Amino acid sequence: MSESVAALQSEARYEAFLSLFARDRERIFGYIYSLLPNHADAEDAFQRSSLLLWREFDKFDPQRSFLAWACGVSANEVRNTLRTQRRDRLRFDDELVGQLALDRIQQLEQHNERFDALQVCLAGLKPADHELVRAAYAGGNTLGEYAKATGRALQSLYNRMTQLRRILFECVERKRAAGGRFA
Amino acid sequence: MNEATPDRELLEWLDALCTETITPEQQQKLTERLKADPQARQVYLSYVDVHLGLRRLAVSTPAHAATEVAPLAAPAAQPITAPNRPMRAAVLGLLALAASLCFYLLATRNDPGDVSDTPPVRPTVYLASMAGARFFGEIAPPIASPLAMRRDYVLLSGMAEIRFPTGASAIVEGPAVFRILSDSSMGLDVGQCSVHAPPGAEGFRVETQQANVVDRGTRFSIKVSETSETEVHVIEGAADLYRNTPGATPAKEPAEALARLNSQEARGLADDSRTIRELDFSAAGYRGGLPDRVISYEATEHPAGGVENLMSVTVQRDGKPLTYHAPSLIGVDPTYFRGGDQTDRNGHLTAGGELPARRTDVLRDNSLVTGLINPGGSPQPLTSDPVMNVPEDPQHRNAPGLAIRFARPVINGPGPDVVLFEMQTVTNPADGDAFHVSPLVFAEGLKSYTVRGFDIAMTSSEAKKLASFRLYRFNAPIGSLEELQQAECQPTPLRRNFRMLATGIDLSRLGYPAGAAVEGLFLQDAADDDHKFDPVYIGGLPR
Repeated sequence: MSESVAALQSEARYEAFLSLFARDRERIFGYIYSLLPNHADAEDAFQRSSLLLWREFDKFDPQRSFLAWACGVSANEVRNTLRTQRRDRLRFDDELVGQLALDRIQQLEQHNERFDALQVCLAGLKPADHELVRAAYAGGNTLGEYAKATGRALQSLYNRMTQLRRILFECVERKRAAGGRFA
Repeated sequence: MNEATPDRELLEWLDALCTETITPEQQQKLTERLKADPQARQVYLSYVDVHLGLRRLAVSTPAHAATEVAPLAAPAAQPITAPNRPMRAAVLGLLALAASLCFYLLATRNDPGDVSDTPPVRPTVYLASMAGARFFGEIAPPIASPLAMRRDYVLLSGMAEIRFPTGASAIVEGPAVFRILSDSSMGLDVGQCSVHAPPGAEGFRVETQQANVVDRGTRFSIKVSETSETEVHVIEGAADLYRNTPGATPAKEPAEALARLNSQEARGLADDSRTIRELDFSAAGYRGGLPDRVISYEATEHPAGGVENLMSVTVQRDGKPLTYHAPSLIGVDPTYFRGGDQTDRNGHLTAGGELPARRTDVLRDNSLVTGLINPGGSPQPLTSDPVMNVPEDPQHRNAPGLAIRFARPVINGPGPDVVLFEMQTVTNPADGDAFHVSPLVFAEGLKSYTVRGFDIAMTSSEAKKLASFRLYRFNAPIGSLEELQQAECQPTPLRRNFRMLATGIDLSRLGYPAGAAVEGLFLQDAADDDHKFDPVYIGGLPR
């Protein structure tokens, strides 16, 4: 095989991976997080899984679902994490991870639909609640800073954020049940 | 939705899990519950989706929020076995991007028309949506921002939809001067306004200098001329027309209305407030919603500030706001390019750093800082197939402009079918650079049309600041893709203070029938001024 043909094949392989991975990366992360619900753990596992997916991409059968294959690879990575890492964080056990992995794979097709519904629900919040959500989820100490800036007690903001999360959860479920149309 | 409502205890555990404050005891109980209860597992997975979705969305800096930039958490990528260095770099870049996927930006102005079933009721009057709205002396207020009471808003052009806590909504069309008077009333000095007061919002009032129009549960349009004559057309339901007596308490009407207008009736009140006259009813002035358009977009934030990579775009099609994630958009490949006859001092390529090996890739990626800019133009749009000979035939000059081919055909649907993003700075036209759109192959019924105003223009609060980028300038005019690829070019220092405009291209306006599959387009600057248009991203909307 000439060098140029090999390069073309490599490029095509890379582009194929890029395309599939870019399409499904959010769902893959969501899958991992649902088995390993701690952000630091999930991000570590996601990064290791991403590398593994690239290395193993030759084994992927294009006739199959990339997402299902990627989730399978990621589930193994999560199990490795559970087995090999220190147990200084609270984690689900193997049995529950197995159950959730099965349930999750059936639900992943609805991921984008749920996300779009969430955006619609979020758009219905009043501006102050918008700001609170942003502050609570922006990372760092933004909620504390937000409490200082607005003169509100931090605990009351946490309480409101809990309410908002539930309100949004119920709103998303309602929209899903109603079969809202999202692109 | 799970049929059973999740119990309070389960939600408490899930909240604690999401905030990473769960205790070992709670974790144990949650584990046992999830193992034993499939329904609880579904609730858990849905709740996790909301949590992760908020994390994705909330790091954004909405236009009305503080300007701080949330930190991107991108763990260092590890070495990877890849075919060559550029590919490896690209994969590492991808993985770094992927690792930070939880943190990218997204504002939330998605569906202003679908907030009625969300639990919180807005306590304020707010700006629900806009279409091409330009306000005098100020950037348009951000979507979803509250409007100040008793402050004059001068809408020069475009439309603004205002929602009131009672459920009433009003679409004001510029030029207009209006103000919010209360949670259920507004003033209109001049301009046109369409009001919808659903059940529960009866009593909504529009005050002009001459008249008070009180909604009795209806849809009506009201127009105030520059001479303050007021026209009211009731589309359905009823409305009462009162004389507005100077100095009277605005919240109270006189005991008797001058007239009650029923469905499909119209009246005019002259500027002396005394003469009321019957008018021929016309529904043409009533606007039930804003036109289909690009509403907003979201993009990743560069650590140094400014948007960089397109993440999603929200487009109203057939009256419905739809969000398209960038990977789902149909990419384009430039197949032809010709600049102007003179060397363009602003060059034809932009990039955040080095140019890609294949220079036309600047229009194939999701990056908003890479672009194929300043294509040639013509004052008149094409009326026949663009001439694109390679090499150019001196007897038949090639058409100046840019031809693009979609990765797969774009199907003509309702509203915009293609989105186009342009970089623009304050010294460029505020509405965006006008450009012609033409079919690649003309057939019966097909024609060119000219886009003269971007949906998201410089004056829109949705136009986000662009990350710094470089212009690549050439020493000679560029007449082909080959020259674009081969000619020597020099980067100029990073450009700042640019904003990202966006607009839609409706294939129906080119004459394509609904459902037609369109493989490509020809784009030309409209050559109406010294500024050429600067496309940095073009994508077709999937069906």
